[in-house]
Amino acid sequence: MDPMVLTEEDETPRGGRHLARNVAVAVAIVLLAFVALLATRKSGDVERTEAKILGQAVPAVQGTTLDGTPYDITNHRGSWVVVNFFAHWCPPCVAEQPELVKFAEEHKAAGDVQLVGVAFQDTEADVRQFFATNGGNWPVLVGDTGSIPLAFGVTKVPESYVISPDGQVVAKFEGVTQAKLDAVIAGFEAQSGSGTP
Amino acid sequence: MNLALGTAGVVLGLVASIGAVVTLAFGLVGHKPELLRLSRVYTWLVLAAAVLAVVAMERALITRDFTVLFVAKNGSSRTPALFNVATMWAALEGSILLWVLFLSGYTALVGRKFRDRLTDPLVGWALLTMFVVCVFFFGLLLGPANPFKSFNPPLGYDGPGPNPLLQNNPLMAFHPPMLYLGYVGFTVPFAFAIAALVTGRVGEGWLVETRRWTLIAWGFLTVGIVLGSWWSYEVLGWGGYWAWDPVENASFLPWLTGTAYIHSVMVQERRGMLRVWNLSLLCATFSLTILGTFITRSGVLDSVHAFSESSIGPAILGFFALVVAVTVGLIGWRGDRLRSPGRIDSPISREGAFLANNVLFGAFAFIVLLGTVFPLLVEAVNGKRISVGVPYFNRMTMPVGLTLLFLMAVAPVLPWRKASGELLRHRLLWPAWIGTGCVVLGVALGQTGLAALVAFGLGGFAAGSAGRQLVLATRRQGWRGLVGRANGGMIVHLGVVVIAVAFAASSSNVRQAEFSNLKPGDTATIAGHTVTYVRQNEVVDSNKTSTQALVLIDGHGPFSPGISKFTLNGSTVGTPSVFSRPTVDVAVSLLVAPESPDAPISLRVTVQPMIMWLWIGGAIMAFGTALAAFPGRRRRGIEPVSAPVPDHRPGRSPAAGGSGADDPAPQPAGISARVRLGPEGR
Amino acid sequence: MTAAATAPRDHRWLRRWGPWLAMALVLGAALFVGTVSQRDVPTNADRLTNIARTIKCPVCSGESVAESDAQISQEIRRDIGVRLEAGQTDDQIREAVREQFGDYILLTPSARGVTGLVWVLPVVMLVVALAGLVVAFSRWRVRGEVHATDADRALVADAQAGGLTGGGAGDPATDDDLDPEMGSGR
Repeated sequence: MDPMVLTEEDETPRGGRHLARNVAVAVAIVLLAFVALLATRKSGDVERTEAKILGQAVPAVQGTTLDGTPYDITNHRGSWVVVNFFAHWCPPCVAEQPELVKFAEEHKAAGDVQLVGVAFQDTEADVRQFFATNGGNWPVLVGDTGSIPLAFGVTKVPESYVISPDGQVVAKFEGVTQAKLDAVIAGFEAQSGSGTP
Repeated sequence: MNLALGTAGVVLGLVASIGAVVTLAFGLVGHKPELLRLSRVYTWLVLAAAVLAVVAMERALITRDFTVLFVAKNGSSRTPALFNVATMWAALEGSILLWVLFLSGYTALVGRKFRDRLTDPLVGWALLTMFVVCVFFFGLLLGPANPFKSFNPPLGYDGPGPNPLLQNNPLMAFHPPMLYLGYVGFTVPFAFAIAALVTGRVGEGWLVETRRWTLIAWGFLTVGIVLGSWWSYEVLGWGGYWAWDPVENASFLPWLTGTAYIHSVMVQERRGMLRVWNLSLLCATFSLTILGTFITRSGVLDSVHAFSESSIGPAILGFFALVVAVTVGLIGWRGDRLRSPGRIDSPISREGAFLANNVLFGAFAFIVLLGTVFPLLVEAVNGKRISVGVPYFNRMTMPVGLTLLFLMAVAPVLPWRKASGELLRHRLLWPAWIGTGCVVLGVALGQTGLAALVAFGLGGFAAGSAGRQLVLATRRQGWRGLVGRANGGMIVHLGVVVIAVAFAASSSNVRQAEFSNLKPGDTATIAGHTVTYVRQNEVVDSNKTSTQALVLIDGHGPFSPGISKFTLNGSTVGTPSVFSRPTVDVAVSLLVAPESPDAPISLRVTVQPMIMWLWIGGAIMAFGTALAAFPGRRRRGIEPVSAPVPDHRPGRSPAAGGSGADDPAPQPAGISARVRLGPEGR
Repeated sequence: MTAAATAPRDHRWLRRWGPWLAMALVLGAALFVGTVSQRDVPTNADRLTNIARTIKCPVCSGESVAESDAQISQEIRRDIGVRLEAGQTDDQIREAVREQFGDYILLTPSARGVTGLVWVLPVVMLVVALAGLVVAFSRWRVRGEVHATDADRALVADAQAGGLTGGGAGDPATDDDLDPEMGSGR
């Protein structure tokens, strides 16, 4: 037999005859899945409206407002409260301010919704300027307000939380419109109207 | 003008690359050597095109030509000169220009080095692969990453300048070029790996040729990564130099597989084994550089280093998928026929040590890759958002790192094929004593903690072993005992040991504290060091206003940590100050911009020992790589050289001659002499 | 076996292993001292830093609360400080922060559930790789020695006579990684 012609018996590569092929197939499957994963990943900017605070009792919101009066959210138990975290240096906050103003106007007569702003990493002077430029006339907490965003789990601005009359945090928005706020309140009232108290 | 020149350069590059791919494809498949010889002309064309585009962009940046959108978005009349040149790679589109420049440079160099063998299909396929990569990157420049879009600047327009974090430190000018020289450099051995797979010539020839390229690319990547850590440390201000950040990991992954390759390729050279494995390593390294580019530029993972998101992500991901498909396909198709027979006699041998090295580096790379993409996996599976951060990486990679240190100590003394306990005992005695000495020294200096002490001990052990090799080599060969791959490699090992010890020392002894309400004259004390606040200072620059706090650190100074507000976009960036000494670094950063010049300030002080040795270790590694790339003493090789299996078809001679272009089908050549098992059997 | 025969054997053993034994003793003692000797009990400032390093800064891209200068991070650090003063343990503090922000705020992935895979998979892969190596080595042992036949010798002679086509064969390889001690026998 021609020694140059290798026979089947000579071919005993370790790991099996088709090690490279089998490993390649396995690797291909894994990598295909990996590429699919990377391709379909949602962008990081997806609005995160899920929050741990939803459904919990509202944390303490108290402090001193711009005009120096003390404020405590527990005094407003029985009305809806919208807590709006903002800062003067944040463009979306500037953008949403007119919506909040409209919302405040709409409910001023009925008095069933209170608005309170909490300055997030901001100075009193800048906040004053912010309201002077963009309008709005509701209590705004300034000063040492750091613990309030922490309690809510606020990570950036703007964030707004809707508190029901019995003190529960029912909604969170990253950037609000008047329509969104009204929808939440209306939806809730419709539900509680038809359900058992 | 700049727009026209730049766009012309990019278009020329793309057209020339496509032309090269077509020409080479026809030449290789149709066996036309005259077409293959044209490849060198194409390399010049592509290089000229890239140079033209880069020159146009730099010119636009230096003259602040705001009709170019890239300059309008990233340049500024207030940016200092050095940073204007570096601005090209401070943002996404320009960074691709830099990539393309280096890629065409490497392609031209390959064309030059192999100019006498352009008709060899191996070289032809390698160049073809490189041109395909060129097509992709030039295509990016014409498509999603176009830096030469036009802009109509309003009167008196001045650009915002590059990202403020990137204007702070001259290291920024050097880190990306070094990193890219490394990344792009790996394209060359990858191209030859593809060529070897396609032609079936996986013998050692191509390997020896590209060995120096691989080493140099690896060296640049090492320097790039070290510079990146140094820059993070200086700029970001909390004493961190490695945060296992996705972008950092993305640059580290190809380094890991590249290091594994550099070691296991020696087994191939010596014993002709692990051929397909080495090819796989090279393909993995290149794929990881593309993956790294994707991670850095697509915003798919949170990172402090990431470029802004853009539509470039899907394009790079597509290229990654293509590269993976082609390489896995080739290996699956050809791999089994190209595997070498042969065996490793004993695990206690240099071959065994290199195998262990590969397993460990593979594990390391797996951990880093898994940790980096795991949040994506979990989110895809159950929608939950989790984080995998520093604690995970440190805890998982520490055992791997310590084992690698141990291996670094033992492997250099292991002979090929087989070692005896007697031999190991004899050769490792003094290195082991040095290791023990390091542990004792550490304890004497007050180090506590098992992990750090073990790291010191193993580091000393490895350093002793490397030192022993160097001493033996210089005794035999004089100064030449310091150059060449083995000896340069020992110096690189020494650099790694220095970095490992510095890492262990600094991370286990870091002390940090915040001091608020400091008034002029107050002194804060931490871990035996003092920081004295002197007064505030305001500095107005062409592009920023900085509020600084002048401080004295341990009586030296004054240092000026501050907060800079960039005039054009209003963003603020902290600029910490670091007092570096060989034994310890003290970093001070100003936490909040004080409201008035007399207001009290808050400082954060971080004390870490041995930081400077991280950078020194990096320099030693670079030095060692340069020595390793230095040609050693030339001797007749005793490597198994591949011989073609004689073709028994009628009319063909066994020795087919130099040009494989005449072969209609690639033979399964390049196999070491296959032997039959004799009747002796076992 | 006479006493005279056993004595040199013992001496040989001592000569061979003596230095290593001594080394082991010194090493063991040093490591013991180093591991057991307490530094001062970690101060609250140190504990704060250590906890803060395992908490992700929610508004930054990839920094921990210990490193970030963002105000939310400063707030969280202040809050941790308050809790430390109140005497809470490290785990309690981490749990509290996780309650406020969600699982993603902790940088150390949990060891339970799907997340636990990140801890398990690398170990599994390592075991698989080692098993593969064991199998490979045992197969190599089974195959046994290979012996060249005359035909193989002819092939080699033919190749050396100039039938080489591997690229780069004309470049005598530098052989600078020869074992420097080759030939020295020990």
